[in-house]
Amino acid sequence: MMDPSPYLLEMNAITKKYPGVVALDDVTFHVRKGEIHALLGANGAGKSTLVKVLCGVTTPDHGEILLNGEPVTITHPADAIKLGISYVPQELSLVPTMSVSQNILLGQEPVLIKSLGLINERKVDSLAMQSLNSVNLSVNFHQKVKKLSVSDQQMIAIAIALYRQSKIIILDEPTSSLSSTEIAKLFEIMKKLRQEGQTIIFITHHLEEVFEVSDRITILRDAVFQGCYNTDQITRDQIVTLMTGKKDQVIHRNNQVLTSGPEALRLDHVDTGFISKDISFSVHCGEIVGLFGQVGAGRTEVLRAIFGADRLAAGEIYLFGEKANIKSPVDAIQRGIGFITEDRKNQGLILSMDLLDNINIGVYEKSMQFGLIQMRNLRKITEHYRDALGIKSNNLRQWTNFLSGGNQQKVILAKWLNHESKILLMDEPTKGIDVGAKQEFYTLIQDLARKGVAILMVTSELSEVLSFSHRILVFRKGSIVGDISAKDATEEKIMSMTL
Amino acid sequence: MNSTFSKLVLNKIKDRQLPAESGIFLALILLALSFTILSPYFFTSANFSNILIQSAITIVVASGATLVIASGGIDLSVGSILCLSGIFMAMGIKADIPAWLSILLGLGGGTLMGVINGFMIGVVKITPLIATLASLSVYRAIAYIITDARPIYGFPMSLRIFGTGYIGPFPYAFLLALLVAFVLMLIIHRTRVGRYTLAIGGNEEAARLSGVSLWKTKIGIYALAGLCYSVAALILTARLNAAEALAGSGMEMEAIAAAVIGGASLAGGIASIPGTIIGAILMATLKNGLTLLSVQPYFQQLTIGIVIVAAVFIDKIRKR
Repeated sequence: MMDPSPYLLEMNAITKKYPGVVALDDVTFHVRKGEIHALLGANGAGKSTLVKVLCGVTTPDHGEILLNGEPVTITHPADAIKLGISYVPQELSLVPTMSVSQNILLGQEPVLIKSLGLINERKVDSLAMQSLNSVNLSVNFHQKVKKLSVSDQQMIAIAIALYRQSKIIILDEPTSSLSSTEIAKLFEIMKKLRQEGQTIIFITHHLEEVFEVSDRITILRDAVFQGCYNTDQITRDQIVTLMTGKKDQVIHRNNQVLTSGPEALRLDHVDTGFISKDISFSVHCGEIVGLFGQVGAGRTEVLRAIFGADRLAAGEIYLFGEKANIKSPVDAIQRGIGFITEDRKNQGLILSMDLLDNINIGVYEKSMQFGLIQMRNLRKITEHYRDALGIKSNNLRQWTNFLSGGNQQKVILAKWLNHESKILLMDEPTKGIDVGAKQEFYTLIQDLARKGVAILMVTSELSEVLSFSHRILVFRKGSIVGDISAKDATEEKIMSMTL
Repeated sequence: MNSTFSKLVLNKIKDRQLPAESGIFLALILLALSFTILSPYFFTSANFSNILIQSAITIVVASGATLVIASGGIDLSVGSILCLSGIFMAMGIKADIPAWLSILLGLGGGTLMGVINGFMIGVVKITPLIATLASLSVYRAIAYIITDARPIYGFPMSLRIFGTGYIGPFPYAFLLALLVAFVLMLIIHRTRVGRYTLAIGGNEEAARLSGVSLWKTKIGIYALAGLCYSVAALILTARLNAAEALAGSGMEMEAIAAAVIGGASLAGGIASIPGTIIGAILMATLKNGLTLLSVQPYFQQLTIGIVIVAAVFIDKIRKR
């Protein structure tokens, strides 16, 4: 008898070309049974295409996929599910208006009489219970999913994969919207599942997470396979070199001396009505203030309140020393406030519109002559910002849908520069952007601050808030528990405040 | 050979070497060719101007509907606004108000009805489907109430010219329709309200957070649409030399169909006025040709339904 393959999954010589781009070039990906396998690569390296191939969302041009040593063809998502491959996307695809148990069993409901499709309600709850237990989640399974936290929803997504008796579970950046305690909980479950023999493919941007949970690592760069390593036999620096092709750029502390300008923004006992209560602080022109805290600590709510996206329940906001009554984003923008939202695709960009429109929306009057928008002016303005910020696009009429994350973020920044915003609010502006693009973004923002723009940035990355801001406001459960100069701050000091 | 040619065109559209409307334009040409072969009466100038007159009203209402659809909304009150603003014009004339002022009264009335729609949708925040379903019923009811369900007929030439006049071989009505469509195109691409319309249709929340005033824009959209429908009312009233509470019923379907055949996405954010014009002419040609071939009206409706499905299906393939 032949030796069984040492691998549960083998993807060999996978090549996928799109018009003008090679997304995967002869990529090898081997996964052992019962391991947590980290898939690493900068944005655009081909991770998501590889996963799409595995899940049957796209078909490769060349290459073979073996499962337990047997060749399989996956041309449709249903094939992947049948073969026991489950994908948990970054943005979860649960049905928010259905209950926990309905979500878990969706599409695989136990039936009483098969031909009638009559659901066996009694069995539903017990089956849902079982899979929730397997991820140590104790929630009321009659509750609607939209009422749960992101972390709990993620656990439910994993529970679904387990309910379907998946052989391979792919977690696509599962930690990106979780707080550190939630991440710890997720890792605990991942380790537990590994002990039970479950195979997990783990996609992330955070190297510390890779070292914490993974057994082996596969690295891609520019669509090419860079190697597969045991996690305990490779160093962080080696990984960074393989991922970027260059040495890790050490992010230095923001040591620029702050020439404190006039006060740009002051919040006086602001209450957002949801989480944040009694928030008071001020930001000066040219200052970069980092808002640090766990996800759900009320930082985003504060930004949205300043921007007029949500109504204030109580308190006052002062702009440049004057009391401001901001009732809508229109009011805020007129007073010189810009807002880079966390969710680029749903709140920042209009994906079905091109660069011209996304950069000029709200300031079309700049391009108008004789009451009509003049394409020539529109182009001139757009070209100016494209060149100033280094936005890479095929042409100005390209839909922003087709830009990379870093370039999308630059388009949004260009929009606010075009508005000549004096106060810029940013909510996790570097989320999902690769290392190089991040560095570029920091440089742009620091230039803006030097020109006197006041910047308020929410971030959950400790290294980012330390290296990038002049001052850090630490949030915990809806209030500010610390207001410290970045020079005096240490990782431990800030973290301990949030806990 | 035919299928390889259409594949070629499809690929050219995909690569953006040809505008997105080329597919539907090709379909229109093919349709005209087949009718020319099948009926000796089709390819005549008299018949062509018939088709243009028939398509004029659809072009005008569908241009308005295209704007609404571009914003991600829908307007079911097309026919009712058309009808009621036509009645305003007719009543004006019967009350001895000069024709031009009566026409303005009708156009103003249509715009106002649109503003009310926009208010319900943008300010009260009722979903467009429900809001315009309600106004469809209300405006139509008002039409019946104020006319007592009796037609008003017999108008001076200064009004009838919009339905019967010609400039060279072209009917007045068709030229007016093209003018309206052109202005709408200008509005969509070259004015703030138009760009905001596409932005709202593409991503309402992003538009709001970019400083677009949703309620103002929505009132503007439905007001412009209402204005378009009342221009159609002018053409219809002039052609029939009558206004009645029955007029224009079912027009909303024709308007939506023309826009969708022309490439507008009901999800919003994407719309093309040239596409809509071609869509309207295509439907008029289809009806005209089938009539010449003595096909029963019921079968005509059936064919149009199939054309809508086919157009959307081809559009889906194109986007793959």
